Parts: sequence; structure tokens; C-alpha cells
Amino acid sequence: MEKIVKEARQKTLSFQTRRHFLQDCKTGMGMMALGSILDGCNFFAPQTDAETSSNPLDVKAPQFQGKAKSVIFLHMAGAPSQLELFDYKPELTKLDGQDCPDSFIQGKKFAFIRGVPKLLGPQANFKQHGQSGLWLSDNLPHFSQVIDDVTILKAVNTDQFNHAPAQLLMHCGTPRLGRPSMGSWVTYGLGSENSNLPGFVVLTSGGRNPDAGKSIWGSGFLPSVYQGVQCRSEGDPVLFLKDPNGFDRDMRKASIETINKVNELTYQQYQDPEIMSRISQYEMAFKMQVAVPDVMTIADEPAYIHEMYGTEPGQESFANNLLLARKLVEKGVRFVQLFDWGWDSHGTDPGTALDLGFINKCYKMDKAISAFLLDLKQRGLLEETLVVWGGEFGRTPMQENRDGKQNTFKGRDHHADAFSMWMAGGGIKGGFSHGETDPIGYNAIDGKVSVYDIQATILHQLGFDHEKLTYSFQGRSFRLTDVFGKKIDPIIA
Amino acid sequence: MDPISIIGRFHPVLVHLPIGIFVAAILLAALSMVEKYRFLRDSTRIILGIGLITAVLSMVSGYVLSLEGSNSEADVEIHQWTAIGMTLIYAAYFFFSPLITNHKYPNLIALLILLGSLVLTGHQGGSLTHGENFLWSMGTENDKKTTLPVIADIQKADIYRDIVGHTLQTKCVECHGANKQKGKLRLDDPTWIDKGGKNGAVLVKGDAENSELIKRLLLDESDDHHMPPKEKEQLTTAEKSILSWWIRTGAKYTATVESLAPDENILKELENFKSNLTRPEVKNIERPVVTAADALLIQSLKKIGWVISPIAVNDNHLRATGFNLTVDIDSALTLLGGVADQLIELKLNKSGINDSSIYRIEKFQSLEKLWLENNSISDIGINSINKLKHLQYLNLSNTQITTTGLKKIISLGQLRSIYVSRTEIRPEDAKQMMALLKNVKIFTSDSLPKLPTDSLLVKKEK
Repeated sequence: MEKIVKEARQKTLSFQTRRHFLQDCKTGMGMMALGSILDGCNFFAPQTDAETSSNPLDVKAPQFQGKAKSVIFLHMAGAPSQLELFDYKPELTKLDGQDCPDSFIQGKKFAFIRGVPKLLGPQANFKQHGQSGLWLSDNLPHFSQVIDDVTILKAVNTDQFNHAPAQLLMHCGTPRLGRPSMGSWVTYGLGSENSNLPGFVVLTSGGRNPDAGKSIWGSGFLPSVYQGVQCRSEGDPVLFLKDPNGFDRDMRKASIETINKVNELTYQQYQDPEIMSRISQYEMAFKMQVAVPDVMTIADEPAYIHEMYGTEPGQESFANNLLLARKLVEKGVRFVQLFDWGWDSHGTDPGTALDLGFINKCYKMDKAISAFLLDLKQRGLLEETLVVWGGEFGRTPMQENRDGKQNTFKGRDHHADAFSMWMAGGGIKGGFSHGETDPIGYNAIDGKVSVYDIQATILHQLGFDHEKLTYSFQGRSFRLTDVFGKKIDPIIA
Repeated sequence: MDPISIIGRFHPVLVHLPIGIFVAAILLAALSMVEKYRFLRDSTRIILGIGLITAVLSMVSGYVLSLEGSNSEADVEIHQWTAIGMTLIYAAYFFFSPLITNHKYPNLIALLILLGSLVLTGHQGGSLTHGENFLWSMGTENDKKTTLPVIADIQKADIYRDIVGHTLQTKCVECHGANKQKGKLRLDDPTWIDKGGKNGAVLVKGDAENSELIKRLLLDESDDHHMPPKEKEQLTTAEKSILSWWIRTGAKYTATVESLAPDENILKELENFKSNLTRPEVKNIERPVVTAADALLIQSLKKIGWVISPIAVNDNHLRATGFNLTVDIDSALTLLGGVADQLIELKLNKSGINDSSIYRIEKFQSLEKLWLENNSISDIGINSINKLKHLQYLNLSNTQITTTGLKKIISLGQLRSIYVSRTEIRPEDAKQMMALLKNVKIFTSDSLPKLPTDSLLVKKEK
């Protein structure tokens, strides 16, 4: 141990060159004087919980008592069509096949639609369900059983119509790279209730990864300890969990403790929060060796659970991830982010056709999600777990005509002006619908909410005023919702 | 908090200096009018001077405090100007007292004015900090807690007495009632409502859109004229539409809902209104204020694996989770007993607690939420849970509890949800019990039906 410490000291000394000394002389002396003058002033510096505790993932108190303790965000990458799921537009059926009126397309930009597209009627039948009588398409046969626990937002609005920027906006509050994701903000604000597991876990269902890449669960300028930990959904969830041969757990412990001691010394010298991140990540990795194999497997779940979710252990699937998400939240993980893929229903091939591949995707998702909500509810998890479902935008009421030619299959283009999302649990109303679109589902006419409003609402349910959960970076305070956002009061129970 | 606003927070302390010092000065000045105590005159002036300095200090801090804007602006402004006026009066006396101290009556009158302005300013400040009613009425708490109207049939309900009146009472009367009449408006009685405020009538009977009352409600919340002010509790959508409808139908004070022929939409809103009335209010649970738990004790609790933290900043109540306890559950709970007063949420999911150790939770009398799922607890252990009078949430999933045990705790005062999935208790038993109880929900195991779509694949028709 002593040897290593000595080595570390020597190493830092060797970095200190004559130039450093000269440079320090210039500013250093003045700073030293100023430092001693200003010393007492630190009394006024804002002391937050986040700074006072030594382990960055220690559990922290929210600004006020929030209803939700965890969030599970189900992101359907590609953006599923609201018009075939939640937003019932009988008028659109009548207008099927007619040219889209000029007023809708004038001055508008679309990802693929060119010229004058034709309107496309809903490719699903709708019925009212539950005590609340909310409309649901028959693409979601099971969902009717949980509809009374869900608030549907029918007039969500974004300003991005391409996947990557829209996904960034949804998760990081800006269409550009570099900001922390929602899960990072939440773990930064609240820490984790289980010191043996990461606070923020990301699971993808195989197939394609989200277009925006890993930045949508990155930590941006927040210390990297708050970034999402992506677990593999197939095979070992986390690689290299087992100690190598001939290396027992005590030895592993001793080596990690030594490394951390050296790191702590370095931290005392440089005060770089990234060093604290590194220390806690080593500790976490050590603890995860025990905790992860237990939590991150669905093989030990009883058969009826597998039947209900439609899960198959060993496969890479959204259903498996939902079951894992439940297990993680049960164990105190703060934020679980699920990404499903294949929802980009342009109608260029059978897989993206609204009357073929899309329906198959819906059936699979429907069963798994309904089972998941039911399971959360009966286990008493739904009261403190906020579930959010949605794509990065919606789809047009017009049929896509790529390059001016009608697509072979029935599909819709990207649409940013109005789309549907839903939230459940965590103090959100059940069996409630907020917002309304015009008769063809093109624009929001009532209860319009922005992506920022959704973020503000999520933070509010966790006990934060979204305007006050901030982090100082490059001279100003940043927050998830940038300078926008207002919590959606009508949907809060 | 920034350093500037800390100065503001000192206002409530600083104000006591000028008050005390000025009172002393007045008493000395009065005393010095007696020949025997004439020599006090000079000291009176010195004390007055010191008082003036402290008065200026408190005014500065008061101004900083007012920038925080937590009180209603009009009241703060009045207080500000009286304070300035008062200080000027004292300054005037300070400078001109040598001229009048020899004249008995003018001097006495001057002193009375001094005392009066001091009392006035002090009282205003007190009302701002402690609330208008603090001084006069200890019992008017009842004013706020209006009894909920009982509405059996919404059609037969009285539109003003049961519905509109209730909305006005709960959302408006605090500032437009007997105690305060902001904008000279009172909304606590039909005559006052019809009279309107300083800008004239607030109702145009039959025309909701042109009624000031509705206009103010519908303004954007960020607008200064929006009512209720944005920091106060807002009207629900149902309340707003019912209010508009009431005005449209002539703003009648005695009429049943039925007689006003409500259409389908309004009926729906009325039902919403009704369900809001009957829904138990969980939002504002009043907990006794507790002192912070001992920091050293918290440290040692964390050391043995408790994840423990206050439920919110500025709230000393605690939530504890025992996912990774490093000692046995008995010793872990014994040590946790030190924070029994603060602890309101306790997670003991799969912690190994059982019938023989569960008695240790009895001392956690403040508990509101308790997770005991995945432990071997049977009906014997239930007796301990039955002693937790504040319990609202109880999770007994995957335990050995039976209907017998459930019946014992079901009527525990505050309970709202009990989870007994994966136990012997069947959904029909739970349903039977729920039928007898008002607000308790019992959650049993539930599953999805099998549907043909579960295995159906839609394929392209050839």
C-alpha cells in the first residue's frame, strides 16, 4: 500500500515541471492572497445536498415530498402512430384518399412528404374502454384492462421532425448534443436507494439502437457517475462480472480499496469531481458483482409471470426488458430507460406498414406493457413509480408520398405538431385524457403540452421544481428544461 | 441563498431594536417632564438617535425582504410607507424636541403620536408575518375549513349553496371575504357578490364571457390580473366551467341543478366536481413538526446499510430503506428505533423480518408507509402492524397473511391501500371486504386474459 502511495506522489511530482512553477508564480501568489481575503465568503455559497455528501450516489432529499420515487421511461424509438393507437379521428376515415388541403402543408416542412399528399384514414378500429370510457384502438386489446390507471396526453408537441434531434430534445431538453439526460438529472437530484446497483439503467430491445446514440442517456456536463448504465439484454447483462481464475473476492476487495485510497489522495489534491465518480464506480462495480446476477435475470421468475408478459428468458426483447425494469425498480433503482425500436411506420416495406408490421409490433407491446402495468400495480409499485410512454414525435394524418410518389404500403411521415403520449402511476391521474387535436389529428386545439412540460411534470412528481434543479457549468446554471416548461397540472392527481 | 437576501431575513429580528429603543425613549421623555427627572432629557435624545439608526437598518433589511415577494404586494407596500413615515416623525421629534419639551401638552401629544405610529407600524409587520387573524381570533380556523356539502344526487343539489358557493368559499373568500376585501370585493354572500368591487360589478348575469369574475379566471396564469393569484390554489377545470355555466343561466342563488337544465357536458363537469368533493384529501396530511434526527445516529445507521434521508429539504421526517443491511434485522431495527419520531416511510422488502422480530416496528408510531413484502410474516405478525395508527400504505405481498389477519388491520384509521398479491387472499374476499369499507383499496393478484392476438401475426395477403 505505502509503495503505491509513494509511487503516486512521485508521479504527480514528475508532472510538476519548471514551467508549471513559473506559471504558478505569475497567478499563484496573487490568488493565494486573494484566497485568504475571500476565505470567509464561502459561507454564502449555496450548499446543496449534492455537494455535501461524499458518495455522489448517496440518497438525497428532494425539494419537496414527491409522489414518485422512480421513473420508468418507455421510449418507442421511431415514433409510433398516434392515429392508430390513442387519438380517435372518425372524421379522418371519411376524408381517406382525398388530397390534403393546401392550408395544412403550406410553409410546412416534412421529412419525406413532397408535393400534395393524400389523407389516410385510421388503419384501426376504436372502442371506448374502462370506467373512464377512453378511446383505444383494437391494436391494443389488453391495454383496456389498465386504461383506468393511465393518463393519455393527446396534444403533445415538439419542434423537431427528425429522429435524432427529437430524441435528444425528449431526453436532454435540447435538440443538440452535450446536455445531461433526464435520468442523469434525476439521479443527480435524488441519488440512489440501492447502493449496490446503478441509479440509472438503460435497456434496449436489440435490433436498432436509437438514432441519437448514447448521448440520450449520457450525463453531459454532470459528473459521469450520473450517466445511464446500459445493460446488455442478451447473455450476461454486464460483462466481466466474475472474478478471473485464481483471484478471490477478498483480493479483489483489497485491490479496489487500495486503488480508491490513491484516488482519494488525488482528489484531495485536484478536487476534480470525476475522481469521486471513479471511486464510486469502482465501489459500485465491486458491489454489482454480487447484486447484478440476482436482479438482472428473469430466469427465476415464475412461469405465470412469463406467460403474462410474454417473456422468453435468453431472448433480446422489449417484454424481457419490461420485466427487468420492474425488478430494478423493486430494488430501488431510480430511473430505468427502455428503448424499443421499429416504430418508424413510413410504409416503405411490410415491416413499416400500418396494416401489417405495425400491428404485429402493437400486439407484442400491448401484452407486455399491460402485464407490466398490472404487475406494478398489484405489487404496490405503481404508487411510487412514474411510467412514461411515448415516441419522439407523432405521425402525419397524410399518407407518406416519398419523393412525390405514393408509398407502396400504408404509412405516415414524421409529425411534430401533435402526438400522443401516456403516463401512469407516481401521482398521475388514472383513466384521464388531456388535450385534444383537430378533427384530423393535425394540430393541437386544446391542452397542448410541450416536451418541456412533460419533463417539468416528471421532475415535479419526483419532488423538484424543474426551474430549481440546476447545475453550474461554464458560468451559468443549467437545467433540464432549458428556459421552458410548465408542469401539467390537470393530470396530477 | 444569495448573501443579499440573507440581510432580508434579518428583518424580523432587527425590527425589535427600534421598537424597544423607541419605547424606552418615549418613556424617558415622559419621565423627564417631571422636574425631578429633568436630567434625563439629554439621554432621551441620545436614545432616540440610536433608535433612528436601528430604524433605518430595519427599513433597509425590510426592503430586501420585500424583494422576495412572499407576501401580498399591496400589504407590504403599505407597511413600507408607514415605516418610512414613522421614521420621519421620530426624526422630526429628534431635531425639534428642544423646542417643545418645555411645553407640557404639545410635548405629550407629540409623544402620543410617536407611540401611535410605532404601534401601527409594528402591528402591520406582525400581521404580515403571522397572518391577519393572529392577534384577534384564535378560533377562526373554522372559517377556512368549510364543511363539505353533501351531495347525494347532483340533479337535486342547490347550485349556489352546494356548488358555486363552495367553490367561492374555498378558492376566493380568503382574500375576498369578511377578513380581507381585496379590491373592495367580497364573495362570501349573495348581496356582496352582486355589489361587486372597486371596478364595478363582477357578474353580468346571463353573460359569462363579459363577467369580470370569469375573465379573471381565464386569463393566463402569468398575467398579473389572473385570479386566484398564481401562488394560491387554482380552480379546477370543472369548477371553472360550472361557474361560467351558472352565470350564463342567470347566476341564481336559489335553484336546483335540475331546474337550470344542464346539458351533457355540464353534467359531466358536475360529476367531476362531486367526485372531487368525496375523494379523500391525501394531499395535505398534517404531521406534527419534529426536530432533526441526530446526525451521528444517521451516520451509524448508514454504516450498517440503512439508506436513509429526509423526505424533503426542510422537512425532518425520514424515509429508510433496508435493501442491503449488513447486520441482522433485529439489531438493524433496534438502532433505527432512535429515529422513531421522524420515520414515516420504511421499506423492509425481503429484509428477513419475520413474526418473531416484527414487534420491533411497533415503536415506529409515525409510520405512514410500510413495505413488508417478500418476508415470512403471518397473521401473528399482524398484531404489531395493528398498532401503527398513522399507516396509509401497507405492502404485504408475498407473505403468509390470510383473510383472518387482513380483517384485523383493515379498519386501521388512515389506511388507504393494502397490497396482498401473491398471498392466499382471493380477489373475491378482498372485494367483499372493500364493499364494507369506504376508502381502503385492497390489491390482490391479477392477470391478463388470454387473447387470440397474443400469438397472432398479421401477414401480407398474397
